[in-house]
Amino acid sequence: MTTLSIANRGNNRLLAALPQSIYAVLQPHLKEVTFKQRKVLFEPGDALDRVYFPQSGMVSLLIITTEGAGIEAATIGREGAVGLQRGLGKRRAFTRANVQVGGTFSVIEADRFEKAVREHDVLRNTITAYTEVLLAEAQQIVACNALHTADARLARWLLQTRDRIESPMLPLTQEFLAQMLGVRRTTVTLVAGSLQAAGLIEYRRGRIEILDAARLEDAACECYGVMQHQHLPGTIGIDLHAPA
Amino acid sequence: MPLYFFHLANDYEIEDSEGTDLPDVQSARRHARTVVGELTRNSDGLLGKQWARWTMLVKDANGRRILSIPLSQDPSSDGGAGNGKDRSADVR
Repeated sequence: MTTLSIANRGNNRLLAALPQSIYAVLQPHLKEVTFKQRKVLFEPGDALDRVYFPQSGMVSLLIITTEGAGIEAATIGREGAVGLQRGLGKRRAFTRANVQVGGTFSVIEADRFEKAVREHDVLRNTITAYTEVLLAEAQQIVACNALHTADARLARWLLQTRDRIESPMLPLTQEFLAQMLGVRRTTVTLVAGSLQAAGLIEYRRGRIEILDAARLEDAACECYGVMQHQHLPGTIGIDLHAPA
Repeated sequence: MPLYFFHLANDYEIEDSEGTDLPDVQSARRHARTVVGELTRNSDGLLGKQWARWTMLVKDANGRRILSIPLSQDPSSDGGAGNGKDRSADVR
């Protein structure tokens, strides 16, 4: 049997945190796939047929209203996975999954994943623990959207993106950011402009660069600090946001 | 549809370089009020006061100033003309 060292598991933290024997069960069925920015992985109501573990990309889950407007419910990078709940049985999506930053993903067919979960409690526990973290983050986002200013929320969002893709160069459009934050594109332009005027970021079409992360953290709302310190409780006990 | 640009002005300007397609000046005014609302929402306390000194300047595609709205004005008091509270100035 080949020994798969943790170093060979790529950048996804959930996969890296799995015990060796469990990872060996999944590994033959994991395919490396590249998705470009704007790719829609699924729409509300779609049957979830794959589980996605980001290696270098980033996905946002959006709630879509009947008018077609969207707002962020969660964003997932290499610290997590998309569609994980599929391991608990056949599920339908209630959000749209949008690739926000293109990159590579480890993808496994949902049926295979569900079978592995049935046979290995550790995997089921991982899903449960991760789902709790995701729920806590989603609740924090709700509070943040209700209570914090547009500039503090944008600063938070930029820092979280940097953490997820591990680069201060963020290939984000203002249209995407407007959708994430639930504001007009004009508002994003003006808030980004004020952050730029203060020397915290530089932005061009389709790209935002963080120039002064420390001061950007000061400008961000407290939610950034709270969400940074989420970690899997109990069995797994890994800090999903700790530097590698 | 014509393009309108929504800038912020104080000691310096924050520019809207993109512009937004809108059918007419009335729509531009509504859009301006919405954006002002989004900028100033939850702005109470010390940090929030930063926007109070700014003014939104709406310009058309020719660079002509169409509207001027101080951000310290409550954007939800959308009385249009003549309610006395509306301090936004139509600049022609």
